[in-house]
Amino acid sequence: MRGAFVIARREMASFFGGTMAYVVLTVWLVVAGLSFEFVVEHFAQYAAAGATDTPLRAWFQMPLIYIAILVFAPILTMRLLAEERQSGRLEGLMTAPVSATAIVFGKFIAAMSFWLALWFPTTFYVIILSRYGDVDLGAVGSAYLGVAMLGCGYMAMGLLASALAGSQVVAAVLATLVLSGAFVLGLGEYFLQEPIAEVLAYVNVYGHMEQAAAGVLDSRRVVFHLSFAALCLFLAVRVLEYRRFA
Amino acid sequence: MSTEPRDERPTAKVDEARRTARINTYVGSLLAVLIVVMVNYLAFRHHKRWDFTSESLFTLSERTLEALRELDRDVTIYLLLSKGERVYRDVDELLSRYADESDHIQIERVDPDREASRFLALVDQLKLGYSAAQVAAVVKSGDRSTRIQLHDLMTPRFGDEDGPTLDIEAERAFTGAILDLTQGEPSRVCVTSGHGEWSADAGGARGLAAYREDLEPMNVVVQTIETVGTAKVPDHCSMVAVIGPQRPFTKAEVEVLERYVRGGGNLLLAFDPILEGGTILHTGFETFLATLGIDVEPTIVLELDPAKLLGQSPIEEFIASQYGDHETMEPFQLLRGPLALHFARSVRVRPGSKAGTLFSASPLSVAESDVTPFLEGTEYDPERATHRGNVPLGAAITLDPPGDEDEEQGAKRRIVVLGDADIFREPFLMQPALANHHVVSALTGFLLEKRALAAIPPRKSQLDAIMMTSEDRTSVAFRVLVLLPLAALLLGVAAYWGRRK
Repeated sequence: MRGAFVIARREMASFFGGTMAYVVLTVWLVVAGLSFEFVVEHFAQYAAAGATDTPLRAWFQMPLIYIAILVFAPILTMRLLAEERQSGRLEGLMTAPVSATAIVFGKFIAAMSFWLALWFPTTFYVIILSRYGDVDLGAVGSAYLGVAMLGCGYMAMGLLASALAGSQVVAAVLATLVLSGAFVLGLGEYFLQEPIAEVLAYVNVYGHMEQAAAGVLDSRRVVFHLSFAALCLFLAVRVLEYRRFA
Repeated sequence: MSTEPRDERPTAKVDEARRTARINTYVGSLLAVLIVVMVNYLAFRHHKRWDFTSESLFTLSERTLEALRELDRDVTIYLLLSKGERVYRDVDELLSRYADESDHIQIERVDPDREASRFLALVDQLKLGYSAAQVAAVVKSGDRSTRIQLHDLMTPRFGDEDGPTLDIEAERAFTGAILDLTQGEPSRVCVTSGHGEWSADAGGARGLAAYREDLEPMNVVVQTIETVGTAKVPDHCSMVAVIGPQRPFTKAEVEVLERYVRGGGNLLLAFDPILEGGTILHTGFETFLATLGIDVEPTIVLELDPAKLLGQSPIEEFIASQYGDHETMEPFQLLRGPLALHFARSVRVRPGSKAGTLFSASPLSVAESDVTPFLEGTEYDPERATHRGNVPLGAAITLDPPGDEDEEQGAKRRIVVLGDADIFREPFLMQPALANHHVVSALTGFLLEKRALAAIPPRKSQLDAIMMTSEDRTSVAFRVLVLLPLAALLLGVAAYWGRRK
């Protein structure tokens, strides 16, 4: 476990010490800010909008947010293992007295830190909303728990792609394809009939986030995201273990 | 890339170790996938929801939980909302909780936009008819069913101290419907006869067939009763309707109905102005209604705004789209749907009365008690009208329960008075562009409201989510779109300089 934290600290120092983190953060804040601004304008101009929605919930329904997530999640994770492998440092790491589990877990902690760092500035939006209207803090908490769970799944998938791929670009493309494919598949809930729609609702990340932003946390969503993350992390460990012998 | 020299001739031991590692990886991965699928399947079957909202918007009330625990027969709820509807997710979430609580509850979701053929088959099966577009859900148990409309699920309120709020009434509507179907007797609307009233059995002109057919699926039975020579309204009447009498009620008959109301009954009165011998006949209810602060005036209403007329004559078909301050009219205040009327009389609420006005004619309308010009065909001068502008056409009142009675025990005592019976006309009820169907449904619902429904208070949600001036909006845009990203960029520049140093 200690090894995992050492690796996580090293990874975070490398990421936040470079410029990449801030470029991603700046672009993300522009995208998230544009979506937020659109929501604020809409709610400020049309009082009736509040009849069926809250600004926070409307913000989590903005497609631009998900497009950004599907782009940034692979960017955040692509270098985690693929870069080590590309630069030849992975072999050294594998011969060091740390287990593959510690390596993967450490990288995952670092990735989650990046993810949460992306979302932390958006709490400023909540502060703004509370100045001009009522904000249901319970629903805010639920929404950010949803974000954290979504991050677990996405970061773990990105990490697995990084473990599988030979280069950062391939890792990013692989993660984007899998995450976007799963995202689009989930949207099928809105177009297909039951019972298929019910199955797709189970994997519909957009629906999960909408529900969390409404203030509802469902054990099915928790299990889905955490088990998906656990599976990806386990597979990433197996890939590293396999490479150790290959 | 490793630069260490590789052994080109691996030993059998190394080969064996690699093969074992490969098998371990594949088998382990497969097992992990299977375990994850199994865990998710179990989670899908046995789940729990946590409601974090401060108003517990998605938590079922104790009354609903009690009703679901006692449920001993199957109930199917057909959710007929489009998934594109903004309220769909909230209603779906709430209904999922019903299904989680009781194995007797089945939810069928049918999206009218995406499953048109299935929806049309259901419209036919559930006999929704022309009103299908207004139905948000149908609750069905055995051969009985009840409809829930979109406005039953939530009502905006604009009179609250904390600003506009939204009453979330979906739970009240669904639990009320379930209790009504599984435990409650059908509500009975008793239509009086013997004074030339509209017939509960007939269709067409002066027939209530369309109204009756509209109520039947909602577990409401419309039947005819006699008041002439009777001392008491039958006990099973949930409400009594006096619709379009052409002769006045006698004092004794009015006393029977008054006793019925005082004893906890509900009364719907719809009076057309009946001309006889150059005057407008009285209804017989004037004295009784005057004690409640409602005047059924001996007038005819003239709509002088040409834009509100459906024909040529200002006393025949016209549109009223001004809705009053009574609670039942709040949804219509927003929508201002056109309500078609024909040859109406004014119904006025006296100052200080607890009654509320339902709807009025236009600011140009007048109420006239002298009908001579219309009978003789002489020129009419609106300046001499009895009342001018915004002529009120209906009123409703809820009487306080008697002192020795607990409201929870069911003494509602509600009265609705309309200055026109033609609001029940079949062509008006069936015309989707008109509000007649909705207004009649709302008023009937007001009179028939079940005790179970009132036991679940609506949850309030703030309607005006954001109150901002244009300066505020500019300031927010600057902070969100400029300051925040700029701060992140400056951090990046600082990190870059730090590394260079």
